[in-house]
Order: sequence, then structure tokens, then C-alpha cells
Amino acid sequence: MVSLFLLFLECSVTMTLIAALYQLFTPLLSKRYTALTLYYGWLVVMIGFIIPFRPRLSFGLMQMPTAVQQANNGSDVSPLLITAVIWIVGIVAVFAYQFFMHYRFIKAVNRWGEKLETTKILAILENEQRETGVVAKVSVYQCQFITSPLLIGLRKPKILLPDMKLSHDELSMIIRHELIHFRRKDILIKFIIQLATALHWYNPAIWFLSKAISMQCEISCDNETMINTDMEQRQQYSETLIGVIRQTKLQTVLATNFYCSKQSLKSRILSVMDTHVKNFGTILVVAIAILTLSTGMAFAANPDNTEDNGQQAINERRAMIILEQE
Amino acid sequence: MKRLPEAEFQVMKAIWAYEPPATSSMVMGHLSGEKSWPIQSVVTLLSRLVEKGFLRSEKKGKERLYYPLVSKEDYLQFETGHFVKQYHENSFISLLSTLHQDKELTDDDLDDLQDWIRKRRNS
Repeated sequence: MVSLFLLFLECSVTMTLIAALYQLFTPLLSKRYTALTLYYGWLVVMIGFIIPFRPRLSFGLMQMPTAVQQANNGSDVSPLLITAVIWIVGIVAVFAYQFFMHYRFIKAVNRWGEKLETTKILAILENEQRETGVVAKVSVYQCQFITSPLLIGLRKPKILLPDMKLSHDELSMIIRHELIHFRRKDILIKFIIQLATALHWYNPAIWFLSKAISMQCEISCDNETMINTDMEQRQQYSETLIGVIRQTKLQTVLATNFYCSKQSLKSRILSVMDTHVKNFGTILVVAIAILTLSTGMAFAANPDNTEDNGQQAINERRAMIILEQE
Repeated sequence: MKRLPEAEFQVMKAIWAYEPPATSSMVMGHLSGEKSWPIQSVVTLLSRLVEKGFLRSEKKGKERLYYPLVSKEDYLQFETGHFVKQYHENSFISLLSTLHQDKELTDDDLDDLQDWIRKRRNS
């Protein structure tokens, strides 16, 4: 258990460094690459957090067991063992909490959600399913207790709408946005993020990252919703975002909060109104994957932590040079 | 307040659907279809709701009238209020969210953004 803890701890440190570098370069990269590229880049980082195993050089493999033995020599119950136990307890607690919240939410949806089956809704749904190529049976529910539209269900998707007045155009844009979430299986990616958060709960960075990725998920979904649209539709879409927030603010009793903060709404709208042609940078996603895999080698070659940072900076610079050349 | 079991909730929902007061036959009418129970069960459920303080009842002639003491909104708030926030942050557990709170959006901010969008489109 202690060696597993140390493995994850090492993974936490190296992945936080990679994530920090990635976050640092995000403004620069977002000029060149689509929001979807950046989103998948984050997905690679998150997988790196979940799977701590890295290819190591032969002498690198020896490192961990010696470290553990040294730590265990002191007393019967080493502080390291206690830390590892706390770590496991934390994971279980975070998981239980996540599960409980989800369970309560689904229960409330089943109890309070009212299925919308008006001809208007069904016509919009049919049209948008054709546009997005979603063939699954999708149902739309109205829920009084939510403040923003959302999607649940991995196989039987349900689009949940708050109790708001929405025009025909607003409804079709919202439904298209949610169908794209479904098509991309964003709920699975959310699950990966929750898994990473549970495993690294003691690392403050992971909490900030999960927020940043949710944001990137929304931005890239907005962008996909806006494919093949003109400036007028983009304006309409941005105004729908603002409209939903305005109505949320009116429902003061339930809307004590809204996920979309000032900065995030601004970024979303800026991105929607941005019509520059960008590329999908497979190379960027691959570069992040290589960087993640190479951290194991770096650790093996340089047991010293500071040198390791240097190695990573070099790796990142190399990755950046590859990008520049591309 | 306590969370209502499903059957009692269905009866309560039927009560909320009418301008008060409601009678047991009105509740029966609302529950027709997939969720229909015999009248005795509905009466039992109604008296249980009176015991729990969700309803007040009055005898008027042959009929018993039921008045809701808990509004739909209050009960909804009770059942869902606590966890809506967490779910809205995409199931992000907000133990640390206080560290990450940036300014809340004001109406002026929204107006500014809307102006910017219009200008952007016309340019």
C-alpha cells in the first residue's frame, strides 16, 4: 500500500508540473488550436493522473523499493504507512460523496422532472438530432430545481431544462449543445476527472484543474455547436447564454449560485464570437502524451527532484519547438 | 421536515395541482392512469400526510377537505436546495470552491457583454 501511495504521490507531483505548464501555455495555444484540441490535451493530462505507471529505465525500477524499505526501517507503524492509510480513506470518502450527490440528483430528477412532449419540443429535438447525427432515443425534461440546462445519462440521454421561458431558437441551440455533449461522451470524461480528483484529493491543483477542464469542455462544445453558422447565429447563441444567466438571477430562491462566473462567461462568449480558422492539433495531444510518459524516465535518471524539474522544462521546450516547426 | 416516501409524494403532488381545498376524489382523479390506487389507500395516505403536518383537513358535510400546509416550492427547496449547487459545478465537489470564487456577474456586466456582442457583429 505504501509503495502504491508513493507511486501516486510521484505521479501527482509530475502531473501537476505538466498541467501547470499546459495551463501557462493555454492562452498561446488557443490562438492556434481548436478548443477541442485543448480539451483532449487536458484529457491526456487527467489520464496521466489516473494511471501512475510509466516506462522506466532498468535502474529506475530499483529506486522505489529501496525508498520504501528505508522508510519502513524506523518503527513498526511508520508515518508513511499512516499517511497511506489516510490517503485511502480520503479516496473512499470523496468517492462516497460524489456517488451520494449523483444519486440524490438522479432521484430528484425522477421525482420532480416533468417530461416535455409538446409538438414544438419534439420537432426541435428531431431536427437537432438529424443535424448532430444522434440516433439514440433522447428525452427532454423540465426540472424546477436546476438553473441551467444539462444532460444526464450515458445510454439513455435526458436533456434537463430549467423552468424558464425559452424561445424556439434558444431551445434549438440549447438542445444542440446538449446533444453534442452526448455525442462526444463528455459524461465519461467527467467521470475520469472525478476519478482523478478522488485519487489526488490532497492535491489542491486537481480541484482547480477539474474546474478548468469543465470550462474547456463547455467552450469546445459551444464551438462545435457553432460549426457552419454565421455571425448572426453566433450573436444569438451568445445572447442565449446571457439570457439563461439573467433568468437564473431572477430565481433568487433556488439560484444561489451559477457555475458560470464572470470570467468564464466572458471566455465562452469571446470564443463563440471568434471566427478565426483553427486547426485540430493532433501533434499537441501527442506531445502531451509523450511528455507524460517520459516523466518516469526522468525520475529514474535523476532521483533528485530539482534536476527532474529541469528535465521536464527541457522536455516541454522540446515539445514546444516541435510545435513551432509544425 | 422529512422526505416523503414516493406514494405520499404522489398524493401531495395531486393536492398541489389544485386550488385548495382538495377532496379525496379530486386526488383520485389526478392519480388516474399508471399511478391509480384504491380510494381506501388514498384516504390512508391523506391521513398520514395530515399526521405529518403536510395537510390540514376539515370535515364539511359528507366530504373531507384538505388544505396544504407545506407549499410545493418549500418542499422542493427542502428536497433539492442543498445539492443543486454542487451538481451545477459539474459534480465538482466544492470543498475548495471558496478559494476560487471570482466576482459574481452583475446586471451591468451582462449589459456590457451584450453591447460588446452587438458591436462585434456589426464590425
